[in-house]
Amino acid sequence: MSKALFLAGCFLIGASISGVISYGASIIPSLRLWAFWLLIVIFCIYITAMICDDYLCQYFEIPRQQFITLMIGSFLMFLIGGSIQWV
Amino acid sequence: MGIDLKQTQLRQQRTILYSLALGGTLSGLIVWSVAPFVTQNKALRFLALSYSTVAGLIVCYSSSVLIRNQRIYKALDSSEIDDYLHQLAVTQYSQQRFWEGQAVGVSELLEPSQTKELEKVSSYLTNSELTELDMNELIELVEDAKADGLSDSKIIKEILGYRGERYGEGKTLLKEIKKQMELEENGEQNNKE
Repeated sequence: MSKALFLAGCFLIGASISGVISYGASIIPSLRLWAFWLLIVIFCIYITAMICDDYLCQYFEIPRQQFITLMIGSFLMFLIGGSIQWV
Repeated sequence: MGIDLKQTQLRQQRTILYSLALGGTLSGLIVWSVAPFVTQNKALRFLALSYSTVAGLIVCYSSSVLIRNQRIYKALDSSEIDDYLHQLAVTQYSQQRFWEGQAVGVSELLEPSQTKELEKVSSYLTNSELTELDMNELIELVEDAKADGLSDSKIIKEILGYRGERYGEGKTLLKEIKKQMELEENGEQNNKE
C-alpha cells in the first residue's frame, strides 16, 4: 500500500512537471523551440540508459526487469503528462 | 511517557500519513487530469499543475515515512492482537475460576448421592455449548419452559440447544436435570419436615 502510494506520488510529480513544460510550450510560442530541444535531450538520455542498462543495473543494484519497468513507466508518465496538457 | 501513549501517537501518526497520502494522490490526480478539459484559463491551468506537483511531493514524503515505519506498525498491529487474545484468555480463565468456585460451593451443600448426580450432569455440560450455565440455572430454565407449556422435545432443541445428531445427548441431559429437580424437591421437603 505504502509503496503503491509512493509510486503514485512519483507519477504525479513527473506528470505535473512534464505538464508544466508542455503547457508552457503550447501557450508561449517562444518556448516551443526550447521544449523541442528538451524533448531531444530526454530521448537521448533514454537511449543512453537503454544502451548502458547493465552498468546502470549494477550501479543502482536493481534487477534488469525492474530497470526496464522503471524505464517504460517513466516514459509513459512523461508522454501522458505532456500530451494531456495540449487539450 | 507511557507505552500506551506512544502506541496511540503512532496510530494517530499512521492515520494522518495515510490520509495525507491517499487524499493527496486522489486530489492531485483529479485536479491534474480534469483541469485541461474544464478550463482554458492560463492561471488556473498553472495553478492546477502546481497543486498536483505539491500534492505529489506530499504523497512521496508521507508514503516514504510510512515505508520507513512499516516494521513498527506491524509490531503495533501484532501487539494489539496479542493484547486482545490475552484479554480473552484472562476473561475465560476468570470465568472458569468463578464457576469452579460455584461448583465447590454447591458440592459442599449437597449430600454424596446428589454430588454424584451433579458430576454426571457436569460431564454432559463440558461437551456442550451450555458450559457457562450452572445446574441451578439449567433447572430454572427447564422449570420456566415447563411452566410455559413447552414439550420435552422443544426444551431439548430450543432451550438446551441439542439438535440433529445431538438430540439423544440432550434427552439424557434433560433426564438428569429432571432427576436433579426431583432430588432438590425431596431435599426441600425433608428440610421442611
